[in-house]
Amino acid sequence: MQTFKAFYKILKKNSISIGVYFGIFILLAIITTATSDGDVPNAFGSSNVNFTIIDRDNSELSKALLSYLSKDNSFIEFDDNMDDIRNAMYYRKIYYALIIPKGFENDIKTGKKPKTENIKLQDSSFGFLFDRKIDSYFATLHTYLSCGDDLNSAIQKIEPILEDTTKVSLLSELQTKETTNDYSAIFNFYNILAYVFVGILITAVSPILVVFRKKSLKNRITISSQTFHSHNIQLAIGVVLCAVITVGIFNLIAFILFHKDLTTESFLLYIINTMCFAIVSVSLAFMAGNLFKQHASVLGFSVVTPLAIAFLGGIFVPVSVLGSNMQSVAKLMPSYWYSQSLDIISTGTDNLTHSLSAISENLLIQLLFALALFCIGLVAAKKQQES
Amino acid sequence: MFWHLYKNRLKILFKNKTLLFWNMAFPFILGTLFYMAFSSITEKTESINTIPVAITTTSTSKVSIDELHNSENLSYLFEMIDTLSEENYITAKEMDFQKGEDALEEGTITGIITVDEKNRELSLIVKDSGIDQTILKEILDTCKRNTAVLSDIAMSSPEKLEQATKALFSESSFRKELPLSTQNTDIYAQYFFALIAMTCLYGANLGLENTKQLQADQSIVGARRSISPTSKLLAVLSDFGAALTIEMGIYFLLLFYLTQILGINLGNNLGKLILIGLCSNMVGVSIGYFLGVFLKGEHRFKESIVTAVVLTSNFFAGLMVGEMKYIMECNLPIFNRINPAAIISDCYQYTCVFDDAGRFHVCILSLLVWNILLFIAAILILRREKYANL
Repeated sequence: MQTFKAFYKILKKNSISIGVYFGIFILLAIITTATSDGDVPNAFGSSNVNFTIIDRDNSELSKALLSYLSKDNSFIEFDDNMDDIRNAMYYRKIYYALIIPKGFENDIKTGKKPKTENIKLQDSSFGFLFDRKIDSYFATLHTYLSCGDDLNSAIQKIEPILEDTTKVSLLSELQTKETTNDYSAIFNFYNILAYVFVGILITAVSPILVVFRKKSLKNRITISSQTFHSHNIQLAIGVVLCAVITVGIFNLIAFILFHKDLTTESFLLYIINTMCFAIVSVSLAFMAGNLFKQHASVLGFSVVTPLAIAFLGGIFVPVSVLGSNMQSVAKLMPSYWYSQSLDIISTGTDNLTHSLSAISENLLIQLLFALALFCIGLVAAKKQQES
Repeated sequence: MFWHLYKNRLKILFKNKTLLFWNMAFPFILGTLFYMAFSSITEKTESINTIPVAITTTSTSKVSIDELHNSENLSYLFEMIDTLSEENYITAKEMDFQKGEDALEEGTITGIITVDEKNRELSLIVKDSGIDQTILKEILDTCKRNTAVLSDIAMSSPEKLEQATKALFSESSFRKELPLSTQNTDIYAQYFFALIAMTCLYGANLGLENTKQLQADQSIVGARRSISPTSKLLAVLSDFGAALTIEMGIYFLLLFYLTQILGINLGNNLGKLILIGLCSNMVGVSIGYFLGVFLKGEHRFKESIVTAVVLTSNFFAGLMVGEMKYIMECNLPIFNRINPAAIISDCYQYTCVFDDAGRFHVCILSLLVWNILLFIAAILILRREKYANL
């Protein structure tokens, strides 16, 4: 097992840098999971829009307005700091900020027409929605005030009117997904593994293959008593072992983080899906190891390729929000099919066989990608040998 | 002597095609990927569009929509729908209920507004939840509210009905809009800021390459240069200048590609962009110098560490997950003040998005401090290294 021992020695020599990458990617996976929103699909409900109100008036009217706007939306409290609010809005933490100036209620009572101030995203549907809500509220209130009602009774009169909303029904019952309690976090964790696996396995495996392809070492191996077949088998064992260890570590982390929400069936399916994608990743690593001669080239490839696969394949950006052309391009990425399988697994499963057959097509496509990349690697190796 | 060393170093770095290729390929490939991925997202997820709807009878109604349209009792409902169409909130098409259902199923309309002739009201049928559906509901809620208010006043104080109608449909608003920013507020520009930060910090590879050719234990050239009588400081400065020149060239090419070819809005203050580029690239090259002399071991190991450090820095600046910088700002703001990639991204944010000169200057100063600290540390370590010790 000389080739395998050499493989292991080179891996051990690079262990610090591989360990650093492991650490970074584990941190990346955990942080991305920890910051994911729990977006559980349910029956029809008004879109829940994050907003804030800076209430400088602190009156009955401002509280009533806050209560009305909070009914179908999420109020997020902010200090009276415009920089923080603008920053939050830029990062889409809130979509609307309403500022009620001091003395607003008094001005309304005395018949003046004071103005609230608002900050919103230009030409956004969320901003439009809130503008309409606020305009409608004040128009309704102003109508009663103009007819002689005092402010408090006007507020009370408009309350039942505001609560009587349009009847909305669904075309057909939404297929509510059976979700685990922590649906979004598990999905996001496994989703980011598409980026992580490609990054780690190219970084770990490709440099070793580059070393084995060095002319001096290759010539020594060729004239040795070890057969070509045996040499390749041992290399393959080393590569597969790297993949298995990587899959094992990250699935162990998933188990530690989500063991309360993972069923045995879904965990097995996650392992199968990640194993398939790990095979794609080692095929990519094999291809890179045969295409490039220098370690610097492999490093560059290990940075660009995972990012490309993640962005184009719907890992960092959901496929549903990509343009139609881009959605077609996404299907050319193995990460797309990995993510599609995740989607199916994450909806919950009772029957392992049934779920496995549901994702079998996606798994097969991933394996076909792996085969194609492996063949490209073989062709590259042969061309190098001939030259 | 300086120019001689600088010129030679420039030639040597230009000949290192592998290094140059990845330093250039990475930003252009990723910039193109970002452009392809993000080009229509904002329009799809945020922008307000006219919402296509069908106007139908209810499913149990025995009359046609045309008959309802001509009915005097329901004319005000159709007038409300016409007003909404004129204001371009919706594009309404009258059709049978069945045809409406089919259109909704296919996705050619967002909702069906059904006219209930018995209860004299409008209701809504949608296929799923979403902001467009919520807007439709809000529009119909407003109509229902207006009807309820006027009905209430008509019953309680009919003499005030005219006054009430005038007040209700008055065009004066209780809102005044403040601008979020006068410039680019597209959240996805954040990815391009992080990309430019990554490009600048990738200059660390050139810095690392320079240290390899200064240290006797790293390369044969390093051994020769270590025993040469040339001032080490002069050699370091000239090498640094050459690496910075190449990085600035890549930076300007990237700026041109992003702004002129891809059409990304990076503001129009060229002076500030050049200043940011200069400071950022200096930090990038300095990181390479510092790690190159501080870390002990093979060059490959140092390359991996440099890449890992730059990747991590950029992850927390939002290269992969766009809102990561904001998450760090909320939970650990001090980290954003010291993370070079986050500082570079902030420079662009305060130039291209918020035009905040004060914060911009703080960011530039932070980058200069980083550059000075890293470069001086690298010089001090290099000074102490003797050929015999290595």
